[in-house]
Amino acid sequence: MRRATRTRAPARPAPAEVETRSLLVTRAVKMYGQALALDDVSLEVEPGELVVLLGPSGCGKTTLLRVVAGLEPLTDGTVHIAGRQVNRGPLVLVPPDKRPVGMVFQELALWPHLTAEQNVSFPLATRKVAAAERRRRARELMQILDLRGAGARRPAELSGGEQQRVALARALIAEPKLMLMDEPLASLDTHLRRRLRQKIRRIHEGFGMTTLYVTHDREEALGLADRIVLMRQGRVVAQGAPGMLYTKPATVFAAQLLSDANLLPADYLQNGYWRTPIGTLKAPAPPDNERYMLYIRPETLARGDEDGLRGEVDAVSYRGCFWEAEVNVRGEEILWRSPDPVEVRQQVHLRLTQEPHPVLDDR
Amino acid sequence: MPAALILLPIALLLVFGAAPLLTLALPWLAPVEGGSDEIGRQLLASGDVYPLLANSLGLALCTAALATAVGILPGVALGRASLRFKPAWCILFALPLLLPAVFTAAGWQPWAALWRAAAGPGPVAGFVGAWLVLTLVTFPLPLYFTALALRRTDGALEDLARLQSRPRQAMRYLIFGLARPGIALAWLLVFVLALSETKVPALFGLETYQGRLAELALEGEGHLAGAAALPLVVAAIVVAVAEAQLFGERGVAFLARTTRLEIRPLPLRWGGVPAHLLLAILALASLGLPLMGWAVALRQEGEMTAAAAVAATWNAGGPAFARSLVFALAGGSLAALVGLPLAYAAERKRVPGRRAVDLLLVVLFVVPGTVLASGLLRLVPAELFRLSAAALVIAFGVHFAVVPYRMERVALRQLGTRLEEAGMLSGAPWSARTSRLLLPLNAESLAAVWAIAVILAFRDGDLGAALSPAARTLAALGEIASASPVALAALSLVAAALSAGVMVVAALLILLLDRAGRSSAAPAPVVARAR
Repeated sequence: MRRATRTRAPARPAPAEVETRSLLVTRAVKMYGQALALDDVSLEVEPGELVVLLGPSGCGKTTLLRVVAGLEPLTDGTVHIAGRQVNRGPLVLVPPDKRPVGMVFQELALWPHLTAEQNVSFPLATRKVAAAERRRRARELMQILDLRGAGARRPAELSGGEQQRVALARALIAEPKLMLMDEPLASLDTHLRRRLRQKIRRIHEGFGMTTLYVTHDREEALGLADRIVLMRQGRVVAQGAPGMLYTKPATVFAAQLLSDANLLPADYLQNGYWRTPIGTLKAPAPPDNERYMLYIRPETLARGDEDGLRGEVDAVSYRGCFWEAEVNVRGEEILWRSPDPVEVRQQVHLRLTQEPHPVLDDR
Repeated sequence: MPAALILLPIALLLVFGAAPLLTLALPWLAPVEGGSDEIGRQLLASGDVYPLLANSLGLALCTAALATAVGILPGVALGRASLRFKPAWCILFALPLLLPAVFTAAGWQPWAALWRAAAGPGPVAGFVGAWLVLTLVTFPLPLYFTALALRRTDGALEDLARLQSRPRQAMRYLIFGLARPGIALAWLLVFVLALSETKVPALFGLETYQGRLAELALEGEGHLAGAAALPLVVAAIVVAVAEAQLFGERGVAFLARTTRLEIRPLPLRWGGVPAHLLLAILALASLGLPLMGWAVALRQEGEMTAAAAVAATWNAGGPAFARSLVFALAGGSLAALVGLPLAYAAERKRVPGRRAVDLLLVVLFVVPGTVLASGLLRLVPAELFRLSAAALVIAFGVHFAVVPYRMERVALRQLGTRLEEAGMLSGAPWSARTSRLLLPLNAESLAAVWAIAVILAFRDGDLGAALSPAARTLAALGEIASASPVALAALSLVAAALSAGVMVVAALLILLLDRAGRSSAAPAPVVARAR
């Protein structure tokens, strides 16, 4: 979070935008005292879209999610859910219990005194749905989420994965128009995370949900999202399809957040040539006169011949299906993923299989 | 949350808490010659007031210091050491705390007399006697708070300290450092209880300021003590402001800190016997010797047998006990009803003015009951009010509301907000969230909060003596009976037996609830969990 420094025009979204979006956040500002948690954030989510908010800790992504859920008031700006205005400036027009949203918390927040089935059916109980119907729908949903036999158990008696799915089922059962997920897989082990990530994606598609998902894990973001929204210091700094953001990030921040990027200080010469510490490289020309760096993904480096970039391996770590090596090329540490074994102090020649991509130096 | 749930308790606090205290300032702002405050003003103008004040504050400070010093070591033993019979010790030490202090003082009277007979006026007379007895009554508070604080210390921090230092150093520099806010809070509670105590110093021949006010109140002249009560109100405000600055939010945050569930006991090795010995000495001094003292006092009665004295006292003490219990239940419940919504508003709603409410609650607790009663009687001079049980119940409600308020804040903070937010996003309105989530999730702490408020109301003597002379409570009876050592001893025995009975029933209930809770939350078979 950072301190507020500027003023701006009032938020007023176009009526057509409001009608068609599942979620429309317009020029949202959220301040805690003097600290700025959201700084002029605008965001649109189309029906059926899975949007991932990605950013480092403290960048405001959970705050944005909580504002959308109605758990935090805004300082300024508006929020519309399914065409209905729910926040206007500091006014929470629709309280959380009246919003058509479901939410999965990072801590899952399962009620420990209720069984799994009671947890799942609770949202229906508060909507005065008959007990038999509640049970039927809860069991049906729990079956879809592989929770057969877990209904009578309390949260403490469930495994981490089961708890996560109970939380998901509880958020789904009232058929919300917008699903909010706040790092729901953060406390699980890698294997379970991967499995549940796929499950969430399948459920998202199967239920035709609109989802806003918060994470700081780039693998999760790249694997789940239709669109990734990058946040930094309370602002949206980039957004786009995962593939586009990964291969052609606009800034150094985006490149570092989405990959183990090699970033080289570079000066543009002419005709698509750049001068870098490791030599002159060919890459697209910069769009403007700002300061740029060249972004080389480790997987775009391969063993080359004697004409390639010559370097010495400084460090190696085995990563299962490849060896990750830090290669010293003219004093610059270059990360390289080799399919074959490499050793420390080994001399290697590398070549680029793709042109580097210029990224704006926004550090 | 309906606004009325916040506004009603605040209105009650303002009308029956803040307004009575403010009326005590009126004689200073607009003195009336020959008015009803003349006695109070005379009291203050007389030269012996300041020694009395010094006695009161000195006794409270010394008691708080000694009780804390005495309570820490057994607190360590019961909190972290690998000691046997811990629950039994904890229950044993609760009894002197539960009983009005005047009864423990009565139990020590024969021993003080023996001492005087053998060696003349010695250490168990006057200031020192009152100090020792009040220490014996209140040391369980630092004991419990130390034990609680040590059990709340994050095991990971302790592990880290143990990697770099010996156990004793880790305990000294880290564990006590982290436990300090809890111990300081206990110190403050003891200070407040000692400052409120009127009859224990009187029994030992020590005149105190609050004792003088209580005398006026007991003579039905409580409304006259208005001007004289002001110094204690000022002292209460100073203490409350200091508490808010030193602990307040930090105390709540400290006690709400969650920790690892498994507490590794510190091995005592050769220290087991001395630890048990220390606990036994403290139990003997706080419970055993007073018990024997009551028996000795009863045996000294020539014409009436001890059994007859107890039977006679039972006739008077039984109904008084019942009345005490009913008033304490009503007063404690009112304190809980005042404190709980305010705690919820402070923790969950972050309502403006919560610091002022917090301060007011602490002031109303710190101010001696006699002073609060004086203010109430000045505000509502009607005799009907003075004689009605409602005055006492309301006074209990405002006097002890800070206890449920602070404790529930701790409980709510421990519970966190997510479970309620999940309820909100499940479409549950406030009433459903409260009845179906908050109350069941919070049941244990609510029961504890209520029980402590009831205990405090039960052991209070000042408010009962000042406000309900027509319907004597046990503590108030104890104060009156203190003129007769035999009656007081018999009453003490009756009260101790009844309190022990209530404690046993409560302990059984807790045990049953605990077992029921455990069986309903029993872990599933390992195979099922490992999926």
